[in-house]
Amino acid sequence: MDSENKKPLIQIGDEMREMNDEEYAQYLIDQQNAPSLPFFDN
Amino acid sequence: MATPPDFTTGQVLTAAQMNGIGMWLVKTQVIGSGSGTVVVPSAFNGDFEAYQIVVSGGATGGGDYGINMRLGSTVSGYYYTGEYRNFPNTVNNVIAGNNAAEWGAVGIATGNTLSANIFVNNPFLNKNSIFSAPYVYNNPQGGLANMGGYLADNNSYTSFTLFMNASTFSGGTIRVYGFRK
Repeated sequence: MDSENKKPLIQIGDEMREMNDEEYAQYLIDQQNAPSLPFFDN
Repeated sequence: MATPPDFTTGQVLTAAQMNGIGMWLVKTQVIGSGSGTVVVPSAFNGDFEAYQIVVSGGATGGGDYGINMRLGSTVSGYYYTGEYRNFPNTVNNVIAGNNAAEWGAVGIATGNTLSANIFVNNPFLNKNSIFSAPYVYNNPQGGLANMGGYLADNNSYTSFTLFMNASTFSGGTIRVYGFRK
């Protein structure tokens, strides 16, 4: 996989690895939802 | 004998004294750099019913963001609400999640530090898990947030995840304390 297609890292316990497909799908949903970002807007 | 917790040097501690200790460190997890998602396994167990999760140190890789939380791998049934007022008293926002995919903004991550102070009741029990979490956004335009909510299932959880919707963590420490039953 080239760097353009690299998935974000996830840390599980002390281990850091690239997200698997399922984790990445949830990550993309989380980016869309972004529940906390408007909270602190001035 | 001194009254606990004021012990004296060389004093023999009895079971009654040790059993009177109200809070124990369950685990410490160091946050690495480069990920915005951290899973904390083996955080909850049958020894405790209520926990305090403290996140400190570290920073974000850039920007200031709320820290969100999940229990286990559950991605639905999270109900939460909270209020945020900034120091200049120009912003008073309310946030709420109604059957959401996470507890939103249980803490904050800034370019200066991570900061969360999350009380969680019942995560290991077959009951609703309930949290409350006050914290301060450490910025001149920041302020005080006070959050609370519950997870509408009766599952038993041993792990939780902290994550941001943008940026990555750059160091920091997660400490999980259990309150003696």
